[in-house]
Amino acid sequence: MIFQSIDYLVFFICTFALYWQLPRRGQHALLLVAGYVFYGYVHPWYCILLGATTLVDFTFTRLMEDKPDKKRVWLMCILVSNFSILAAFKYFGFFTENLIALLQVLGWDVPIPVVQMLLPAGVSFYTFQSCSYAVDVYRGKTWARRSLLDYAVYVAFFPQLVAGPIERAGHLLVQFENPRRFHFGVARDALFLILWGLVKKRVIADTAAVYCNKAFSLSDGTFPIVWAGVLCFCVQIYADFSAYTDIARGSARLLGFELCQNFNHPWLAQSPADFWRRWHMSLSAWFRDYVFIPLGGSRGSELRIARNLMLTFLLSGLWHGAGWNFVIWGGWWGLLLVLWRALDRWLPGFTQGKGAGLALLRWGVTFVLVNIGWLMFREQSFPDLMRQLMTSPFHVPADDWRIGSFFVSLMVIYSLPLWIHAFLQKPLLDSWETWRDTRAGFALQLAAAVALSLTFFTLSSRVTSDFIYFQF
Amino acid sequence: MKTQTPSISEPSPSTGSRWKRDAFRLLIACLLCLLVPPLVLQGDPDVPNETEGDERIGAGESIKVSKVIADLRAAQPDYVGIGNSMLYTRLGKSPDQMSALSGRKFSLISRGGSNVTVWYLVLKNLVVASGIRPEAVFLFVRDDELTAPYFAKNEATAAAYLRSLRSADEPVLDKFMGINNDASSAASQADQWLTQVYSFDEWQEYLSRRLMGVAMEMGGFGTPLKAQRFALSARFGLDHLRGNLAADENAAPALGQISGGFQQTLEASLLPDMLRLSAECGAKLVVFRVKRRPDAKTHLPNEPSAMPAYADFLKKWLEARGGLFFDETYDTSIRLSDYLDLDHIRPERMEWYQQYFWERMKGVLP
Repeated sequence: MIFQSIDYLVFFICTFALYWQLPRRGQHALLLVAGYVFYGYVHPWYCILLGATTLVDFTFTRLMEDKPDKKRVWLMCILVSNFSILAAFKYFGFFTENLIALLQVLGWDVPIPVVQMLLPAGVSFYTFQSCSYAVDVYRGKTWARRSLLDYAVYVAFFPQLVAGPIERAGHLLVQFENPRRFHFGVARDALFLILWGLVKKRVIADTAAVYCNKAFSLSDGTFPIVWAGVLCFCVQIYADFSAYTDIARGSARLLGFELCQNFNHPWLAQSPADFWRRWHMSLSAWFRDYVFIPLGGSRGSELRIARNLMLTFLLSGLWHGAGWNFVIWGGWWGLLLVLWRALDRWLPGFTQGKGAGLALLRWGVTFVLVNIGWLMFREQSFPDLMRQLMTSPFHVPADDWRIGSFFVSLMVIYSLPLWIHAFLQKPLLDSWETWRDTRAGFALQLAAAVALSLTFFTLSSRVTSDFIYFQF
Repeated sequence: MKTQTPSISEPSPSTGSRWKRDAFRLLIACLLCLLVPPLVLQGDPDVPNETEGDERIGAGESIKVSKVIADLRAAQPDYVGIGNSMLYTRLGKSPDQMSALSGRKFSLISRGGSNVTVWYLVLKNLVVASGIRPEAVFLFVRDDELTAPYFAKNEATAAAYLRSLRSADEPVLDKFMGINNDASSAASQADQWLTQVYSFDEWQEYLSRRLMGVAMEMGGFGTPLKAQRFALSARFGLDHLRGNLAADENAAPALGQISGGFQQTLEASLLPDMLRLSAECGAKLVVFRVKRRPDAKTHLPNEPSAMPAYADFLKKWLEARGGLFFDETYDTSIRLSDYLDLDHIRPERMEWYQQYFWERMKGVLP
């Protein structure tokens, strides 16, 4: 089920209306049923996978506490089962294709059947969420839950089931164990967040997608058109993914839950590391805690740190998709972080210097680097990627410059609300708690909501698409 | 306003007057968000000349039915052509040249971006309603767009145009478009009401075009908008697209989705009624399949593998019912160099095309 559909609206209203009539255990049972209905709406067999993951992880984490002498074995069972699901559904086709290609290069023509399975939506998200719980239990950071219902609803909590944020037991699971109350002020904010998410998706992301797809449809894209297309993708992917998070967080708030923050204005980043502190924060934190730090983190020699960074980001790239472009994209980010660390030592005046000019320069450099990365992310054909990276800004027809310039101008116009939001954050929104319930706060929120509502109804793109991160 | 995270433990239970105040505020906010758009955006945007001379049906554009009917009555044409830009970029917007070339009276009713739903209403509510008795009514179509429901439903832009052409009751059209006018159930009534209140197609089209115009002015370095639109259209033409996309773009969209066979597709389309309407005004219905933009080497367009069989079936089906079908797709004398953008013929080749058309049709048309 997708958030921007009437089906979801009806589904959510029914769930919401029932939910607040029930006692806590009843609420959990309802949320569990709702989670499976939501997940299996198009392909009911997806639910088998979700249920199996839940049962396996719940059973083995309990065994970790009941039979702690074999703790490591139980953890391995969980990790193997979870990553086997990912390997089978997400990476099997990719690896067999590459294996066949490799064998052919070596002169062996082995008839290995390539099986491409339909990737269940959100499998990477809930698998990671479930794994983090198991590792946390293993590390003693949280305890193995005794209630299957609580755990099952934590894994299948529908607002964040398909595209995150990737939650931790210490944040979300404990909320299931505490009583919840409905609060009108929070509900108002939640509805506003949902509306803002819908505008970001239907107005900004879906419009940007049209122009991005146009630019990437060309077989002979020139420098201005290719890079204007990349900029469109930059706007699309941020508006699209952050919209999903906003709608997820808003829906969860209406049910009395607070999901973790996933974005913090990544366009304002002033270094690659800063970007990853602002972009898909729940995934960055997951890789930091469960891959980078276990590898050694920032301890040891620079070479070792560089290895850790490269490995972490290569895996992060592969998490996004079974394709070489994602691996290259991950490698690009690993390399950028390594180089920026080196720059930090050689040119601290640039990387750490104060002053608006330097900050602007750092921002500009980071923005360009991020967009080069988006080209690798978006372009799935390796020859086309190479061609696009090699396009020259010289000897380009004037019409192509005008078209590129038109695309960029359009993106500036459509992304204006995102920029306004980013710059309002500090002076206005950070202190929102203190004046949300004042008359001025209500009037401002109301005016903004009506403006967003008008924008949604009049500027929504005719063409809509699935959220980009559904495919991961 | 987007807020910082309120923690779960933070909100104290609202009680008494505060609870009422918060509930009231939430109610007001929801009501205003839902009610303001339909109240503020009543009617269509006031842009009668916005799309004057433009290629496609514009936002809020309508057709002056009485004027067209009066023109048809005054002209009393022998042949009436109906279509979209495929028609006017080949035979012209004015019928004068075709009339001069053939010595017969032509009327051409064309509008860029129009589709089979518009053509059906033009035939029914303009040609037949005018009472004229032409010898033939011909339709200019590409591939299977005459019978493809996908093509008909996908054109939200023409909503106002369609409304201006509709009579109060259009059961055949509504059935074809999948509109459920069964108002018996509460759900369908609610659905119709919601669609009516929250349908802002014209505003969407108008505002998105305005924003496109602003962006073109910002990025166009003083180049006129029309020239920019033209360049844009040409740059994203089929010959610039990646191979697989060009094939997709050029494919008849619904042909691959036919499950019940061609017979069922044709019977479920508007074509049987269009044949009946033509016969009602004493005219033969002639379907003219134009050649889509061809490949530079083969001089033939890409088409789905099922298309030749479909065209063959359509020809037999039409001829068995008194209609005619003419297909220029495989005529290699029409070259890529004759095309301007997409499937449109260059203005400087229009005269040649008019002669080509008349040469082929004069022996076929009654």
